This record gives sequence, C-alpha cells and structure tokens, in this order.
Amino acid sequence: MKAFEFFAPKTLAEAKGLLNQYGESAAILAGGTDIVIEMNEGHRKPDVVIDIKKLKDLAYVRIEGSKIHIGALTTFEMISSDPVIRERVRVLAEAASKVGSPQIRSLGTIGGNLATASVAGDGVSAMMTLNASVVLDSVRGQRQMPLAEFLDGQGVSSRNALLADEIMTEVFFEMPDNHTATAFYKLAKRKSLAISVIGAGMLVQVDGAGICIKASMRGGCLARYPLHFKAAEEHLIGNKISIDLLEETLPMLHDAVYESAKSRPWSVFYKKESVQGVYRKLFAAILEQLNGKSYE
Amino acid sequence: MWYGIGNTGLPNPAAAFVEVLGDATANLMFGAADIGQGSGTTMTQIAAEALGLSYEKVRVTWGDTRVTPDGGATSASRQTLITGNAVLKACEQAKETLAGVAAAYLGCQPEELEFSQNTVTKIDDATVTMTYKTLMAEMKAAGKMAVGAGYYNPTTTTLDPNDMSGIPYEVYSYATTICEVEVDTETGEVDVLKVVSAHDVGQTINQSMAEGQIEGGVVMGQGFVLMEEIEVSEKDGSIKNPIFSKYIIPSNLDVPEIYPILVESEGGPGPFGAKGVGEPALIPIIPAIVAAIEDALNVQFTKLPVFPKDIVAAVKEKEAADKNKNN
Repeated sequence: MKAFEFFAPKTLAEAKGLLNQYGESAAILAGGTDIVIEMNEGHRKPDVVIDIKKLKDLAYVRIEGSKIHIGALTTFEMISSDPVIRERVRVLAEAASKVGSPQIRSLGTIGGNLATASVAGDGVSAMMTLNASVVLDSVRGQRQMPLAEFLDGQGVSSRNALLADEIMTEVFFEMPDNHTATAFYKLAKRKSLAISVIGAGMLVQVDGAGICIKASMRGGCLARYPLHFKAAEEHLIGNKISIDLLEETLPMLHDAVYESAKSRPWSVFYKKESVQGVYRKLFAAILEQLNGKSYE
Repeated sequence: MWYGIGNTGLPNPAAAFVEVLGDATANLMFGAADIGQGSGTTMTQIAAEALGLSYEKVRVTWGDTRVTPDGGATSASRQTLITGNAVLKACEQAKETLAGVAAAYLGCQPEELEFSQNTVTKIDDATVTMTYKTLMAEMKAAGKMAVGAGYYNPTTTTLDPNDMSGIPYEVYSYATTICEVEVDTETGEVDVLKVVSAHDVGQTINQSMAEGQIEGGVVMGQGFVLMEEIEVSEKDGSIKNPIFSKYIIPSNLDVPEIYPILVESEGGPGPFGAKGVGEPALIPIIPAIVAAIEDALNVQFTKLPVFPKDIVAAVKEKEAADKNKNN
C-alpha cells in the first residue's frame, strides 16, 4: 500500500477544511469497509486519508415533520435496529440487516454506501426506492439533491455528483405513512457476506379505498444504478392493489431486466427469470403490510 | 455409502513412540498432522486408555520431523486407524515391561492385571493393587524403563493392473445421509433445512469431535453442491476467484440443522475397533442434496455445482417439455 497522510478531524468544520485543502488527493474513510479493501488491493492510492469516524454528530436517525433524516455516518447496524425504521421503513430495515456480516454492519455507514455507489449497494437500492435525497457539504456551503440526480452526477469520480471538497452529511426521505408498505429482498449466493445478485426494493402507497396512489420499484445489480421499473409502477398507479394486479407486472419486470442486461448474455437469462421470483416475494410482503394496516 | 479407509492398495504405515516417566506421566510422539480434526486428542485418548493413565497425564509431541516418527499424510481418513494402531502398539510394548514389574510386586501374573485410572489392579481381586507412582518407583529400583515403539501398516494388496482386483482397503466406513431442502423454483435458491447423517465409526473415540467432523463434512458438501466453483481464465489459465470473497462457501447462516448419528459396529482391526470418518463425513451429503433437489423438482442434474441459474433453467425446460406433451 502506498504511504499516505492521515487525519482524524473531530469536527465537521475541520473535515471540510481538510477536504478544501487536499481536494482530489484526499479520500474519506467512514466505516472503511470499502476503501480499506480498495487501498489494500491497490485500486485506490490517495495521498491523504481523512478518517471521519470521530464526527459522532453525523450518526443519527431523526424524525422531523414528515421526514426521516439519517446522518451519513449512521451504520447499517444502527439503521437496522432503529425501532422507527423497523416499523415504518421495512425496505431500509431489511436492506440494512442483510449487508455483509455483523462486523461489516457495525462499521459500514449509509453515507459510505451511497458515496461508493456500487452496482450492488443495497443501501443505494433501498434509498432509491424511497426516493431519498442527499445533503452534501463543503466550505462553500451546503447543497441537497435527489439521490437519483446525485448518482447521475459527474463529480470527483464518475460515480456520483460529490465534488472533491465535498462530504455527504445526510440522507433524508419522506416517512412512509399508514397507507404505505415497503419491502426489500436480497437475492444472493449465500445468506451472509454476500454481494447481491439482485437487491430489489418496492414501495406502494394506497388511498382509503386501497387504490394505488404511489409506487416505487427499483432493482439493484440490474443496471449501473438500481433499475427503475417504470412500466410496472405505472401499471399499479390508479388501480386497486391486489395480488392479481401485482402479478400482472411480472412480464414488465422480465422485459425491463432483459432490455437492461441483454448485453451480458451470461447473466441475463437468470436475472430476467429470477427477478420475477424476487418481486413475487415483495408482493407478498407488501400485501401483508397493507392488509395489516387496514385493521388499524 | 461405503468408503475405504487408508491409501488405496498401497503400503501406508505410521509409527509412534511412547515413554512412561518416573512421575507416572507419559510422553507420546507421533507424526500424524492435526489439521483441526483432532488427531492429537484422539491419540492421547488412545494412549491414556491403553496405559491406564488419565488423559491429563499424557503429553503429546506430534508432526515434528526432527523428533517424531513418520505418520504419513493426514488424508484418506486414515490417522485414527493407522496412527491409532501404532500408538496402541507402542503403548502395549511399554506396558509389557510395566506389567512384568507390577506382577512381581503384587505377586501375580502380568496378564492378570488391569491398568486403569492411574492404578494397577489384579482383575479378580481389587485388594491386590498399587498406584502408578509406586509402580514407577519399583521400575526405577529395578533399573527398567517403560518405553515403546510401534508402527502399523494396514493389510492391503496391490491391485491387479488389468482388472483392479485385490484388497484395496483393510477397513470400510459406512454412512447414510438424509436431507430436506426447500427449492425456490423462480429464483433457484436452495435452502438446506435439515440433515441427518449416520456413520458407522466402529468405535467412537471422542464423541464431540466425531460429530463435529460429520457436521463440518455436511457443510463442506453443501458448498460443493450449491456454491463452490473455481473460475479459470480462458486467456491464461489463471484462477479468477482465488479469494474467499469470490470463491463462495457456506456462511454460518447457510448451515442447516444437522443431526449426526454415530453407529458403533463390531469395528475391526482399528484401535478399539475405531475407523475413520474424515472423508465419509463429506461424501454422502453430496448426492443427498442433489437427490433432494431432484425430488423437489422432478428433474435430474448430472453435474456439480447446481447453481440457482441451473435450477431456473431446468425448471423452465421442464415446463416447456410438459407443455409440449399436453399439446
């Protein structure tokens, strides 16, 4: 591993100052579950490493009005054990609880997961399903943007919009209400310490009559960023949610995956077929939650 | 399943040394390498039982080519049978000297004595007894030393090169494994739920370790069937997944409920009738899992591993074939 200068700032202001000073030559270390491996394997060779673990103020799950705000340094363990997230945001609780292993969940952070923006990032899939937004901060000031826009951006790396002097401080999203159900399923080669084959998220909001007024379906590992199942979402909106309606979307999922992955013939067959099985599991979870809610 | 213990149709001996010291403890030395299966513990138990000493009194030096005799490879499920018998023979030689001195002291014949729990006692008269410490003091006074060396080579014959006839193994282990799986026909995921694996071990030397080997074998076989594959580069023949983040084996969460059953048969030439369980633990789970998947899907698989994509492909193929049949 190449030698590097190491800083462990105690305040966000200090961290932003260091990023401003070192810019592109600096790498941020949050949980270290990605960057330490990348550095060990020689894929990344920063001159400066800024360890932000001491910025404890950035680790929180906070409800403000109708929104849930999660600090960038919040670990997957904190997220998956948070009572509000477990109760209200199953898609995120489930995704967070399936990341790596207990050791990785105790170190890995949601901010790191979104900033690394891996194809297989389960946090990315869950947050995209929730239509989350991210907050980026620097000495120049704060800005926020939808996660989709963040992932489309061209910043210091081609992965996302993060600029060389910026640090992600928060991710936030609309708290699912009593008429909203969410679910996540991780299809993987084994039950822990596994990179997702498909990390699928789903959100359905209904009105008092059970008519779908909002739907969000995103499948991780099916495209560079979680695949957006637009046709399936449109099929649901305006109709009464039932198992039949949900299953009508299966061919749309199949076709969307085929379109996205057809250039990779070795994986497209399995993915276009298995995505249907994955979503069938999500449909069951969504219906169970919605039915439970109707008795509230 | 039935499976031969030891190298196939070849001489494959192992040896051991033992000395019982003046303080009624023993030094035991053998070459067998303990790679986690517990041969060090097993041999210590065999020596303790043979010498009539408690387990704690036996000190072990193993797998050190400067001082220990050759044990051959820790492979072929062979160490309990072969090094075990070598240890037994070494202990019997040392015991012959001990028994002679004890018999003279107690006024009886050597074959009338039982060595057990750090004591030597006349078999049909418990009042005729002496402690091991007294025995070792008598040995010292008589100027004798309790040493033994033993080796064992299983009785086999070279196999006929034309028809492979002959005696390839001296001892066979037998096993039956049953497993229950849940197969998701849409995602191809296989959940191994429950495994019962019964093994004829001849004589159990250490129950926890034998059960542990069976459990380990089950998980290893599960990986063989469902997860493990060496990916080789077509360009230069290098292995593309030489690290455990890419070469997938079962994690703890994948491990099924495992019920090992130890069956004690008449045994045979092994120490106290013991056989090997190292490889037998692994083998029968492999066809058991495949058979369970085939039973669930009513399709056949003829190669390993069986990946989720293979299952989905087989299910699709069967659906298409069934449809054609009905048309």
